[in-house]
Formats: sequence, structure tokens, C-alpha cells
Amino acid sequence: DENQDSELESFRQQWKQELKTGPRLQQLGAAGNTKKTNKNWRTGGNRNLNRHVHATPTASNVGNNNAPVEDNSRFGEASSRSASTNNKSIAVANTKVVIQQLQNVVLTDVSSPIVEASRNDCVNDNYNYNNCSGNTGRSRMSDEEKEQLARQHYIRGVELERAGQLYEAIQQYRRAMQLVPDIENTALLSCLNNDDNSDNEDDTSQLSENNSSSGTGLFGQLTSLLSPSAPVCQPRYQQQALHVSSLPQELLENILCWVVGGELDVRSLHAFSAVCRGFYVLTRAETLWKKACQRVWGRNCSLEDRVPPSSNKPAQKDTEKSLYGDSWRLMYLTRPQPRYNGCYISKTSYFRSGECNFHDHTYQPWHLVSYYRCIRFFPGGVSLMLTTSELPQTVVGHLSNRDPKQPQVLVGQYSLEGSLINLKFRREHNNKRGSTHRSKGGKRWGQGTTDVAETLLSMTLELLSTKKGIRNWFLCWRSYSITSVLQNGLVESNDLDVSQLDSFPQLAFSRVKSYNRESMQQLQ
Amino acid sequence: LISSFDDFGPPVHLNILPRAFDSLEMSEESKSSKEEIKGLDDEPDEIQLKLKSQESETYPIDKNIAMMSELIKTMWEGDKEEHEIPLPNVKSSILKKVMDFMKYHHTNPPKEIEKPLKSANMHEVVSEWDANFVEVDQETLFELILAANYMDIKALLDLTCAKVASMIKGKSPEEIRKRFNIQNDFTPEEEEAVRAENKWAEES
Repeated sequence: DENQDSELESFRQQWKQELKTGPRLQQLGAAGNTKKTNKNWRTGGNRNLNRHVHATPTASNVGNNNAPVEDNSRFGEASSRSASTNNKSIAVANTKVVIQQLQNVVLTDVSSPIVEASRNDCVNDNYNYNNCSGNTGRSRMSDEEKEQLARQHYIRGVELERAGQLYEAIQQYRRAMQLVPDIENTALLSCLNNDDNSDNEDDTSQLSENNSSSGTGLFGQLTSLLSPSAPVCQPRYQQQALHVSSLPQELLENILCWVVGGELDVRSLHAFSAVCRGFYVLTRAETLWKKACQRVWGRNCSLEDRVPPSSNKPAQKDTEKSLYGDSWRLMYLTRPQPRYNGCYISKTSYFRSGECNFHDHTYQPWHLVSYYRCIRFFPGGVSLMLTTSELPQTVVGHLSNRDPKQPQVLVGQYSLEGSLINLKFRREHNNKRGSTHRSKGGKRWGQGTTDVAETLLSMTLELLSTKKGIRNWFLCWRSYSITSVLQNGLVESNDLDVSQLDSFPQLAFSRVKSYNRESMQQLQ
Repeated sequence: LISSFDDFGPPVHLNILPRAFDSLEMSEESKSSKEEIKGLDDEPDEIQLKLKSQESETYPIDKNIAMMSELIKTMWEGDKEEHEIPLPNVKSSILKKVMDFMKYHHTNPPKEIEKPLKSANMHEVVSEWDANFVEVDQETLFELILAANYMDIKALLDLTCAKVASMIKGKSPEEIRKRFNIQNDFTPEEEEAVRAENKWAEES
């Protein structure tokens, strides 16, 4: 187009002018689109932006808060933000024209440096947009959807600008313009209502109900805001290299299954959901939580499962509705289960009378014996137990593998029944071990341990919450029986009295960071 | 099929075929019979496929090694005449790396992972070679993921996804954003809501 060409020419003239005066722009112009330039662009832009925000309000600054028409100048200013603030006047004077150019050249082929840079931004976005191989099945957005989304972006941009977040505002404007180039004019026609603001407040209050249905709540709000074919996240700074948003959704879900892993590290999942909106929506995928539930409660678990009544709580009324609605996530988070990213530790202390031994100069009338009991649970029914007199901090490392190397660590199985955990450990004795000085439950095994071939420890513990409502924090003893199988085949059973809290204190959970450093297997 | 021999000449083993087939000028009718004879005399192990990258560069690879990729396997089974496999979505540099992976794993089949796993360290579970293979910059890693997905190579996909997962695990949201250059597009209210939700979830 002739008109376009002449406009572009004048545009080029302006930028040549600015190239002479602005040192940062010179770098940008000379170096082209190398990564180094992008860095300068970024730091230059940020530095300028800070200066700009704190500067005394200029005419354009004040004008912006009133009418959307003035937003153009802001857009133009920020796009020329690489220019030093001394040249702001030049930039401001040319903003209107610049905007026109930019709007035209966003979609056309121009070789001016700064337009190239911003065009690459748009092109990168479009590249990510169109290159999601996982999205081939989805149809292109209709014009109406495009316009609706563009309008949302535009409105968002206005909000951000009013809030003073100019950089974010620019991004929203740019996204809006990518979709519908003259969104400004069409958005002007529709009235900017305050529904968006009030919606935010409504949804935060609804969150306290932990509503899992997709229509309401934070999840619903965010899914409605995000378009299904848009990239799942945006690069913060422009980058040439492939960005994580170019990975299709199915691959990101695959990666999430690795993040959670066979050891069910949902803590990492929570951190992941707080990164950006797209990631938040990803982490709420029910397939992920269903796999996690199946890992804990078996393939046959269902949302209709009822928690059998435990000793403390009365039997629940069998209502028609399932406890967890249709949300596997809710089931995973609320149904009682042990925590996997640490150990349950208890400390037992008791007094033992000292033995009077004439040769022994360490005689004391009494000794204070204390030992720690550490129990660790793994998803899938494996558990480890270690009773030791050493401080837990030093020995939790022994419980990091499902197959421990230390012989003192007992390996056993557990099963979940509502909030009760049934554990079974087996210890084999060989004659070389002799009698161990380790005591259980305050009693001391006599000298007859050399006759025992194997010991079976069978215990039942109950998961309790703290007073503040932190679930699955304490383990309380319900029963403990020790069965000794002697070498001559006889079986002796011993039921210990677990009601004495001195001998059987509660075990409290303690997180161990090193347990979840790597994922050994993917969540299937 | 015939045209692909132009570069390298006919395979050596054609010399043992009956004289009638010495000539390269094969008519269409005899092609099918040649195919049958080909099946008898040709050693399938020695077939070389040529993988064509995005930049139209071709790289030869043994058919058996290339069968690690389900995509190539399907394409081969669909048309056994065609020895050139176009992979327009895969860049040359990435294709080279993928071929290295396939070659290494063809000669070194993965050890049976002992269950229960003995070590908490990924580097000890996967082989040393694999761990070094994914010590690359982020862009290459993502390209490898996309290539493994496109070419449908499960082992490579697992390895690369596990590597990315290890970059995410145990990190705070801000650290993840920094690492992957992601824009935080939450509003302050949303951010607060997410934080509250996560706090509740952690306490459950």
C-alpha cells in the first residue's frame, strides 16, 4: 500500500532520529535481535520504567487516567521505553503516529529494529500459539470468541494501568491487539463495567467453601478467563529460545506426573500451581488426582467410599451424596492418609533402676533411658520403622529408601482403614544378634531372646489432627501386639497396654526435605 | 525405492541375486516379485533408513535402531519401499541427539530397574550416560521433549520429562518462574486466593 509505505517511511525517519539521540536504542538497533540485545532491552526497559513511574506526572501521565483514548500514548511511550527519559518528549510527540505504525506493522513485514523486536514478541507468541502440536485437534477461535477474549485482555490492561502496573498493562494490550487489531475502537463502544472487579471479590469469598464445581470458585474463574487454545503461560521477558509454553498441554501433564511421582510429592504440585494461571488450571486436572488416589487406596477406590467409623467419631450417616462430590482432589486432600514426605517421631523416656555392680564404677541408682521411634510411610503399603536412641535428625537418612541398608530399620506393610493404620513388621533373629538392649514399651526383653527365631510386631495407630486443624499430623496408639516365634516352633503372643501415654506417646509428623528431592518413578 | 539407491549405488548383496535382477531398470510388474525375492535374500538388519530433518538434511541410521521410534516404525510398516523418513518437525541438531540416544540404547538395553528402587538419587537410577545426555540447556531439553513426543520414543520422553520435573520439584513458585521465564499473570487477589488454597491443601 502506498499509504502504508509513506507512513512506514516517516516512521523510519523518526526512529533514525531517536537512534542518534538515544544510546540504548543504538545498541538495540546495531545488535539486531541477538539475545544480548534482548537483555539490554529488558534491563533498559525496566530501568526506564521505574524511572518513569516515579517521575513527576507529565501531561500524558495525568491524561491517561481519564479516557481510553489517552491509553494510546501510554502504549506508544512504553513501546519506546528504551529511549532515555530525556527523549520522552520526542516519543510523546510521535506516539499517535507510532501507534498507527505499530498497529499496521504488527502484521506486516518491516525491517525497522524496534518494530522487529516487538514484532518478534508477537511472532513468538503466535509461534507458541500455533505450534502447540497438542492443539491440532482444536479448531480456530471464531471471530466472536476472539473479540471477546481480546476485549477481556484490553479491559485487564486498563485495570493494570490504573493500578500502576504499566509493564503488565502493555502485555495485555499487546495480546488484545494481536487478536483484534482495532480492539480499542470496539472496546470503546462497549461500556467498561465494573463486573470484573466485583467478580474477583466474590470468588475469593467463595473459596472458603472450597467449592470444587467448575462453575464457581477460583478454578472456575480462571478457566473462564483462559482461552483453551492460548498458550498456557507467557514468557516474562522476551526470549528467542523455545519457551515452556510451547509444550502442549498433554506433555505438561506428563511432566506433572513426574513431579508428583510415585512418592506423591503434592507439595511441589502446590508450588507449581502458584506460578501462573495456566499452571494453576493444569494442576487441577482430575486425572492427576485420580491417579494419586489410586496410588494410595488402590485401583478400586471410588469417590463413593465411606470412611468406616473410628473409635472417636460416631458412625456417619449414610447420605446419598458422596463425601467428595466429583472431585478426586478433594478426596485426596480430605480423606485420612499418612503423610509421605517425612517421618512420624515419638520420644519415650523412662527410668530404669541402676544395677549394683561392684566392678562397675558407673553405678547410678537410676538411669534415664530415652529412645526415639521413627515411622515412615510410602504410598503403596510399605512402611519403615526405626527405634533408636540417637537423635532423629541423624537417622532420618536411613529411612529414605524403600529398601533400607541398615539392619536396624524394620520393613513392614501397612493398610489404611479410614483413619486407622494397621502396621505389621517382621524382624528376624539369628543367634549372633543375641539379646538387644533395645526396649519396647518400657519392658525389657529377658535373656531368652536367643531362642526367638522371628518377631512379628503388629500395631494399630490412628491418624489425628492437631488442635488447629492440621490433618494427619499425629499418630495415636490403639493396639500393639508382639508375636514371637521361637526356634522350636512355639508362638508366644504379647498384647501391650497402649493406654499408658508415658510408654506409648503420640508420634508427631516431621517433614524431611531430602525425601522428595528426585522422583524415582512417574505417577501411573 | 530405486531412486534412493542412486546416491549409494545398489547394495552389495544384490550381487548374489539371480542375474535377471541385476539391472536396476525394474518394471512395475516385476517390482512385486522382486519384493518377495527381496524378502528372502535381503538381510533386514542391514537396511539403512534415512531420516530427513526440518532443514532437509538426511542422516542414515540402521533400521533396527530406528525402530525405537514408534513413528518411524509405523511409517516403515506402512511403506517398506520408502527408505527416507521425513521428520519436518525436528531440527537437525536435535535429530542428531535423538539418533545418538537411540544408538546408545540399542547397544545398551536398559537394566531392569530393581524394585524397590535402591537409591534416592536419579543419577544412580538412570545410567550415567543418560544423566549426562540430559545435561543440556533448557531450549534443547524442550526440543528433545517435543521430538520424543513427535517421534514417539517412550524412553527418551520419560528421561527428558523426568529431568524437567527435577527442575520443578522442591522449588518455590518464584524460583520456578525465574527458571522458566514465566510471567506471573495472577491478580493480587487471585494470588492471595491461591496461596490460601495451597495452605489449606498442605494442612490436609
